[in-house]
Amino acid sequence: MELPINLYTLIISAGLTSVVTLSAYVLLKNLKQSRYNSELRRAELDSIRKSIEVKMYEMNDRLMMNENRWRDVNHLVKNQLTIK
Amino acid sequence: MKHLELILPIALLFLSFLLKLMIDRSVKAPIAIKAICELPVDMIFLSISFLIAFIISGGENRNDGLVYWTIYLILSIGIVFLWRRSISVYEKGNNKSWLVLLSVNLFVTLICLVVSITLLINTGEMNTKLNEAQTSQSDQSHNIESHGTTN
Repeated sequence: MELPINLYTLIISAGLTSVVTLSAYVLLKNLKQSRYNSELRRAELDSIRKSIEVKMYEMNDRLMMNENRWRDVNHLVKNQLTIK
Repeated sequence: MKHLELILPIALLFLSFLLKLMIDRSVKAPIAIKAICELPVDMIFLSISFLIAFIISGGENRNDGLVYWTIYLILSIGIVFLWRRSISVYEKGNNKSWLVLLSVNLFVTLICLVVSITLLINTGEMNTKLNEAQTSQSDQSHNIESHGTTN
């Protein structure tokens, strides 16, 4: 059993690796930093924070999607109200 | 068409990457970077499925295929680990060493993919040669038989 690796294989692999890594690097460079947009007169969040916040909202929605889950989240408030 | 054996797998990977990324959600740069980090995992499983095709096609080197299959499965554990680690390093946001992890991961999986494709191509060529040899043999014997009957 011999490994079918030759120079051609190595060159293709190295080329494709560098293309994909470069595109990831370009994406990293294009990440928006948080700044104040003077034209629109509002602050713009940086994109990593924005995506994490969107995820938090989605998680919150999922936590309170149906009645049982909503009760689980708000059980303290609900118990307090029923005692009164 | 030339180099179809490389173009088709790359197109398949690219399509699955884009479909997973784009459909039913808005693409932001952080999500795209995470998807790129996940790409080697798709690639190693694609090459494992090529290996399975190689084993099923039943060439002479079936045992070699099984050895490769075992090695690739062990490698896939390491590749999934590197994928997770690169995402966690990226999310910490302190340094760019996740790019090194990503490129190492990509390089290893690309070599695995090319090796499995070459194995598959070699068996295909061997099978066609065998078929040609068998058909020419049967033709010869048929000719001899027909000559025998005429004489």
